[in-house]
Amino acid sequence: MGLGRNQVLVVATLLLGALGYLMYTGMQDTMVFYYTVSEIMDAGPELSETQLRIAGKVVPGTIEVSNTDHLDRTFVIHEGGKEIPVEYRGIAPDTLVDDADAVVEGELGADGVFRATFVMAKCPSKYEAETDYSKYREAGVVATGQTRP
Amino acid sequence: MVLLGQTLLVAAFTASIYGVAAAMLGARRQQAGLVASARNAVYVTGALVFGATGTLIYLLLTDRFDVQYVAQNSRLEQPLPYKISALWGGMAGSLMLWAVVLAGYMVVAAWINRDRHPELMPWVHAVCLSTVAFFVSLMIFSANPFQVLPFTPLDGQGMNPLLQNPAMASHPPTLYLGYVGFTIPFAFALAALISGKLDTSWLHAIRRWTIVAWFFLSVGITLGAQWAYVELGWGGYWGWDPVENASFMPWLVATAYLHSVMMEEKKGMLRVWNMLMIIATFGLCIFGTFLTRSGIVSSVHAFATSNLGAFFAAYLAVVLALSLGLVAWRLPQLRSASRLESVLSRESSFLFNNLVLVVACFAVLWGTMFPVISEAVNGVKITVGPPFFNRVNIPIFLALLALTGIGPLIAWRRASLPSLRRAFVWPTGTFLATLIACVVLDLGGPYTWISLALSAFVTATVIQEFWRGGRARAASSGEGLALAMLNLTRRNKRRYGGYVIHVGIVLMAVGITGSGVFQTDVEATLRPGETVDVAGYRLQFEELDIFAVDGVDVVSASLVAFDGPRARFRMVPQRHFHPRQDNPTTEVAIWSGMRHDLYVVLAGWNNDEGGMATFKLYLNPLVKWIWIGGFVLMFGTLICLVPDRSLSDSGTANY
Repeated sequence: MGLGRNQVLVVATLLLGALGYLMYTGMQDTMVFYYTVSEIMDAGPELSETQLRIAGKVVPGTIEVSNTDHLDRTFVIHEGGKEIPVEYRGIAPDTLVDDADAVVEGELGADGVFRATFVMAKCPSKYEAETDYSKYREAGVVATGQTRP
Repeated sequence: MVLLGQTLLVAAFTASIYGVAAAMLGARRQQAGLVASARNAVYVTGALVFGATGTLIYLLLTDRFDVQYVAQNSRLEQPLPYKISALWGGMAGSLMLWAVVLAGYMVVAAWINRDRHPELMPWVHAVCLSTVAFFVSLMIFSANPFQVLPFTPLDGQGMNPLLQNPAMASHPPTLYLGYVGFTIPFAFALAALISGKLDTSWLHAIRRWTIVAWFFLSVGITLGAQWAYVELGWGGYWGWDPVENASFMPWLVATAYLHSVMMEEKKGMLRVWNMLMIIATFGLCIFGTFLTRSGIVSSVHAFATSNLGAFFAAYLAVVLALSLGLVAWRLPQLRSASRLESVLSRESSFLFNNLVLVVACFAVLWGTMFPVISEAVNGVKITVGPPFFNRVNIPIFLALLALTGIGPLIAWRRASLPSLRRAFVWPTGTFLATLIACVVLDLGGPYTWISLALSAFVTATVIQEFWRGGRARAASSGEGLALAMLNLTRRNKRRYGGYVIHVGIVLMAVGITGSGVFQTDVEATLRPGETVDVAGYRLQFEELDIFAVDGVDVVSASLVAFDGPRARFRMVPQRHFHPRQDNPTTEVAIWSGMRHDLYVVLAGWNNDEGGMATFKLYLNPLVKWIWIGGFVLMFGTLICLVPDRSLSDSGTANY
C-alpha cells in the first residue's frame, strides 16, 4: 500500500514548506543586527534607522533617572574605547547598574543618541577575591540612580 | 570537610570509570561476575556522589566562607531554605545537582532491573556511569565546588536575590529531575543498539522513566515561567530567552517521542525515528545545560562565560557521533514491521504530530542559535527575539492543537467515512460554535479565534472520548456511568491520563492566548491619594513606607484597588535592597483572579514633598489558567504513572 505513504509524504512536504516560509519571512521582518559599541562607531552613519542591538558596559556614574517620572533614564555604554549615550523609557531591569554588561535594542538616532526600546543587563562579575565586603554596607548608594533608602 | 568533599569526588570519578570498564568487559566476555561488579560500582558511585553533595550542603549550612562556593552563594543571615537551595545557586553547585540527580536515578534503575534485562543492563550501567564520570570530572577539573579561598571572609556575598524565591528554589531541581531523567531512556536505547536486543523490551523498561522525566520537565518549565512572572517584573512569564528555550526544546522532542512510541509498541513502526527521538532528547538536555552554563548565547539567566563550554561541546559531539553511528550500524535490524495504510489513520496523525513537534523544536533551536550561526557564516551577529519566535511558533502550535483534537478521533490503520462522521460531528460543532462566537464578539484577531475554537474542539474531543468509552462500558458491565468512566481510566491509564494532559494543555493554551493578546498596561506617577485606572479597576496610592527586615532594606508602596465604589484589595509592590548586592530587586504585587491578574511594579519613587511613586500596572487576562493547566497536566501524568496491579512490567499496553 504505497498510497498512504505517498499521501503522508505530500502532507509532510507541505508542512515543511510552510515552516520554511514562516521561518524565512519571520527572519526578514524580525532580525536585529548585533554589534558592540566600537563596531557601531566604526561602521558609521549607514547603520542608523535600522533595528540594532548593541553590547557594552555601563559607564559608572552615568545612569540618570528622571526625578519626576521615574521611567525615563539615560546612561552611557562603552566598549573598545568608544561610548554611546542611551535613552530608555520604561522599567529597566534591576541588574542595570554601574559596570553591568548591558545589551540595548533600538535605533541609533542621527544625533548619535541610541533610543532603546529594550534593555537587558547582567551584573558585573559577582566575585573578586579582594572584595572588601564591608564597603557594600557603608556605601549606601546603589548605582541604579535610585538611592538606597 | 573540604578535603572530604574533594576526596569523595575523586573516588566517585574512579569508581565510575572502573564501573564503565567492568560493565563493558563483562558484557563482551559474558562474565556475570564482572557485570555484578559493575552494578556494585553503580551503587558505590551513587553513594560517593551523595556523600559529596551532603558535604557541600553541610559546608553551606555551617557558613564555611573560606570555601569560595559558600562565600559566593550564601551569607550568615540567609534564610535556612535558601542556604540549602544555594546548592544550585551557582555553577559548580548546579553541576553537583546534575551529578547527584543522575546518581539517584542510576541507582534506582540498577536496583529495579537487577534481575531483568541481562543483555541490556551492563550497557545501561556503562552509559549512566560514563555520564556521571563526565559531570564529576567537570567538578574536579573545571568548576570545583570545594575550591578554598586564600582568606576567610567574615560573611558571604549571599545568593543572587533574584534566586531567593520559592519558585526559583524549586525550579532548578525539578528541571534537572527532568533533564537528567532522560539519561535513563537514553542509556537503554544505547544498550539496545549495542547489544542488538532491539525488540520492545527496552521500550517497556523505559516507559515509566520517560513519563517521569517528562513530568518533571513539564513542571520545571512551568515553575520557571512562574518564577519569571513573579520575580522579573516585566509583566510576562515567557520571553523566549535562550535558557527558557533550552528547557523547552527537549520537552518538545520528548513529547513527540511519548506519542510516536505508541506506534512502535502497537505496530512495530517508526523504530529508527524513536531511537532518534530519545537520542535527540538526551542531546538537547545536555545542550540545554551547556547553553545555561557556557554563556555562548547571552541571556538573562546564564552564568558567566567559562571554559566549561568547550567540555560540553566536546561531550555532546562524542555522544551524538557515537549514538548516530550505532543507529546507522543497526539500521538493517530497525526496519518497520508494518506500513502506513492511509493518511486518514491514527498512525498518520501521530506522524504529523511528531513532525510538527520536531519542526517546532527546530524553529526554536534555529532562533536561539541564530546569533552564533550568522556570526560563523558571514561574520555578522544577527539576533531574533520574541517577535520571531511568536510569529513562527504560533501557527505551529495552532496546528499542534488541531492535531491534539483530531488524533484521538481517527481509528488505527484506516478510518472509514461513517466512523469519521460519527466521531467528528460534536467536536466540529463545538469548534464552529466557538469560532462564530469569537468572531461575533470580536475577540482579538484570527489567531485568537482559531486558538480558542481549537481549544474548545480539543475539550469536546476529550469529553466525547470519556463519554463514549464510559457509556460502552456501562452498557456491557452494568456499572453506573461515573463508575464506568473511572474503571475505564483505570484499565487504560495511559490513554485516559493522556486525555487529561490534553485538557491541561488546552487550559494553558487559553491562558497564553488570553494574556498574550489582551494584556493592557499603564504607567502612572502618583502622589499619596491620587488614583490611576486600569481596565475597570481604580487604584489609589496610599503611602510610601521604608523599613528594614532581615538586613534587607525595603521600599514599599501601598495601593488600594477599587472595583466600582468599594475597596476590594490592597497591593504592595516593593523594591528590596539586599546587603552586599549591587542591584536592588523588584518585588511585584500580583492580585490573581480567575478572569485576570492585576500586576503592579514599583518603578521608582521620590521621598521628598510628601512622597511620590511611579508604577507600571499590567492587566493580564487568564494567566491563572496557565498554572491551573499545569496542575491538570501534572494530574494527568500521575494517572499515567499509577502502577497496574495485575500487570507485570512487560505487560500489555492499552491505548
